[in-house]
Amino acid sequence: MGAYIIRRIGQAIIVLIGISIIAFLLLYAVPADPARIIAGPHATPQTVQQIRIDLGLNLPIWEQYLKYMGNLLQGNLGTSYIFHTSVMSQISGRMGPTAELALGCWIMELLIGIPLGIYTARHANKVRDVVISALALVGISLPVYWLGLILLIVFGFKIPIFPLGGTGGIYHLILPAITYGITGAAYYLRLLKSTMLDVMNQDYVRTARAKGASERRVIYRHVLRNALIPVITFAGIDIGTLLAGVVLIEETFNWNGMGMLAYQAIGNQDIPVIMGTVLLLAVFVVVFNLLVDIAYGFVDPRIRYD
Amino acid sequence: MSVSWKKGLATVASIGMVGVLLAGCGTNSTSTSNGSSPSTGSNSSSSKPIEGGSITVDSTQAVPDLDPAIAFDTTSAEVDESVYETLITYDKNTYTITPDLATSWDVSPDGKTYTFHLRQGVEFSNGDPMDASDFVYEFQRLLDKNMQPKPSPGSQFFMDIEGAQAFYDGKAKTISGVSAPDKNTLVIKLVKPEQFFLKVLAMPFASAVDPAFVKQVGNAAMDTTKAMGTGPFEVQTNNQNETVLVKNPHYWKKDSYGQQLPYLDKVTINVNNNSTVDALHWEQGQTAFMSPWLIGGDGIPTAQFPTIMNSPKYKNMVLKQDQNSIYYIGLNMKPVLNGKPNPLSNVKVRQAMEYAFDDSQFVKINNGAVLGLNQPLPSTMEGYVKNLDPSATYSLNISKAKQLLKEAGYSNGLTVDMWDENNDGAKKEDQAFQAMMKQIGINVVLHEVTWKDFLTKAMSGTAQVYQSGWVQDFPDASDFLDTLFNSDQIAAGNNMNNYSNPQVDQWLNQAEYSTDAAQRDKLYAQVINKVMSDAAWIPTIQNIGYYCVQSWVHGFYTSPVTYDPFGSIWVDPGHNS
Repeated sequence: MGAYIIRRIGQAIIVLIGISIIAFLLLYAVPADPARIIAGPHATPQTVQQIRIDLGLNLPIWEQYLKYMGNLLQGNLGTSYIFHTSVMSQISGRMGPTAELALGCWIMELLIGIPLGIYTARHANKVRDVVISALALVGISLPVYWLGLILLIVFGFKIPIFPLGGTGGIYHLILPAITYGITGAAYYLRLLKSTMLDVMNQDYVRTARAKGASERRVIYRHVLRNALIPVITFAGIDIGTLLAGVVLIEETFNWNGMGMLAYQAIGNQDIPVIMGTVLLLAVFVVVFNLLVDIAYGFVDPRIRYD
Repeated sequence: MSVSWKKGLATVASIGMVGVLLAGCGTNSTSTSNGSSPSTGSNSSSSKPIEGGSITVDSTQAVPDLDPAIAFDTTSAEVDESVYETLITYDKNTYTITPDLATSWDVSPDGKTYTFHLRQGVEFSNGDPMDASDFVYEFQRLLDKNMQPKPSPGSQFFMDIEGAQAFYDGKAKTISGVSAPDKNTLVIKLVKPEQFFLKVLAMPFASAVDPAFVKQVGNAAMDTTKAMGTGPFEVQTNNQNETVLVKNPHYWKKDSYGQQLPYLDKVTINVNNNSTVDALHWEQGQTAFMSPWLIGGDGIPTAQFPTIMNSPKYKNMVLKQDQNSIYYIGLNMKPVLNGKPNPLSNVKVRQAMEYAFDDSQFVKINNGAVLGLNQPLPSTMEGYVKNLDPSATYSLNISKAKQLLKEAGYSNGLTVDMWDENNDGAKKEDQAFQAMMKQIGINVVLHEVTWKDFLTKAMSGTAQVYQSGWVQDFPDASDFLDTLFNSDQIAAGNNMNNYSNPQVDQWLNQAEYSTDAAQRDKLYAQVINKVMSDAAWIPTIQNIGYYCVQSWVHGFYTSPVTYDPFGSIWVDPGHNS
């Protein structure tokens, strides 16, 4: 087990280094000249060159990368081109709101997805299953920025129950969480429904029924328990992805988290901030994947890491 | 001031573009939304202003730079004008230069020496006294190419000051042409007379800053979180979520009733990326006004434009102002481009494209919220030519366009590459342009890239056809014509279509340093006619800025040149936000 964990951590580090190289190449090696953008159109070539030197953009790309990684290991993600403050200081204030939003979205997905998954599994192939599954498909297909805006207009403006965007507590969290919940719940619904239908055909379920156990007991005690394993796995990976993927929700609801920071940085061509947010979001995804892998062993005793 | 793209794009209001509004020369062209009522130019009230209260406004962009030496974008300028002050400024909604920190000034007969007499008893918001040496210090910051975190993007505007180049090059420790003979006198000597020099000085770059404060906090903090000016407000908070301005207790200015300015205790600029939600905030009454300089360059977001403009409820709350920003399709004139012969080097091909262009389609795409344009100057700018020469005038004429292409030897058509930024507004216009050119057999291949990549490509002078724009730095024809058509601007990346005509260069250089206004107008008219008969650009549209101002907000006015007047706004009681 210990050797497995160490091996997985090693792999995760390699993945992160790979991501850093790709992101760096994409952002820094493009033919555009950040120095010219920063200096503005009236700047003299000397000024542009001075900025280039100050930012180290005159160095070969591999040297720039090593320098960046050297600084990164010391906790220095560079300085924002636009705001001249350290990228770390910009990111640090944004992690809390993003975690809050991701958690809210995640809970809403589960709250909508799991009961509907159970319901459709129990009523598989009936009209209500078909209707709910079709609606779920619509849910998956809805762009979050569109749905978010509609919810804002209806429940923030026309019937002003909730705030018109902004970062805050539960009150501010409800609309973005519902938006993401509607679009994300469908995955849980489909996953849980299919695994439950699978489990329902197992011998032990038939035995439970034969013993005269109530339908409720069969479903919740025998079927759901076993069917939840892949759902838990998916939920683990999902929270990592959510932490990295709430850019659109944050932008739509003006939620001042990491996603919004990344969005603004992209608009501003603020490369160090884009790089910093990309790396950190990649860390979230990789770490949660790693945790899920490790957790397998604890959740499902059939899995061994020898 | 700068190359710009427009409408709904964060970059517009972020980098490399300080926009300044513009109305008719010395007149007030602001009108209410239906355009029929006489213009008031302001949301004014005859009653006595009330002190106190606070307002909130939304901005789609955070304030990138607080330091007036560095700030070069509309959002930063919006704040800087309320925090810092310059020697002179503009009188409300006109082009008229009025005193600000200088009470008066003298210009020597040769037009080269300016002596400013400063207002006495002015203090920075920390109580430090302001004097002439503060301006000397600011000029040195403006011309310090090694300034950290970055040098001033405005240094080029001040290079005609005596000794500026030597100081910039590190060959002198002071700027010989800027001196403070005493605390209340500032003398600026120019190498050559510049008729528009006062307009250059009215830009926020040359603001009074407190040297002791700058040395204490450092340039980086000065630019991001700490500001110290003599203006009506001081910065309490500045981050990517909000900027909070509070009343400067040391402010010198009083209104005509003898009341201390500013009226408001606090202004909160709330950063909200989603312009549609910004408009909903305004409709709910949460924000005091929407302005083009805060809401993504539009004022009223495209989605809500028809609703707001057609609503009787908002009829008296909408103000509009023609802007000194123009857009155009540049036609690269270089004979060999990217290693291949360039058909656009043939004037007939360019003229054919002019005849095939229909600006009414661009106006339609923009909800009718812009004006058509037929020359490289906005209609509200002094120097605009009302009646262009016939050779410089183009109207939609497909058969003439085809004939010109035939004469140029392209009767079977040709293919050109067009570069633009990848955003919705640009896409619609590019596709319309593509369809227009298709009618005469010109196949336009679109390359829609990021703003950064677009700028790099266009400024290198290698984009064959491109869509771009220009927003004034200061209200003078030279800022458009000299910057965009002088051949010495090719290397600087401003003259992006490689327009080079020795005669035009001569006219431009002569006009740049002429002190005779009539002669300048004449020279600029010659330039415009020549450039248009050469079909260097296809001018497309001119922007109109739309403002939505709550009825409980008073003292608001739109300006030809300056930004939103937080310093003169007051609100009805009970409207704190």
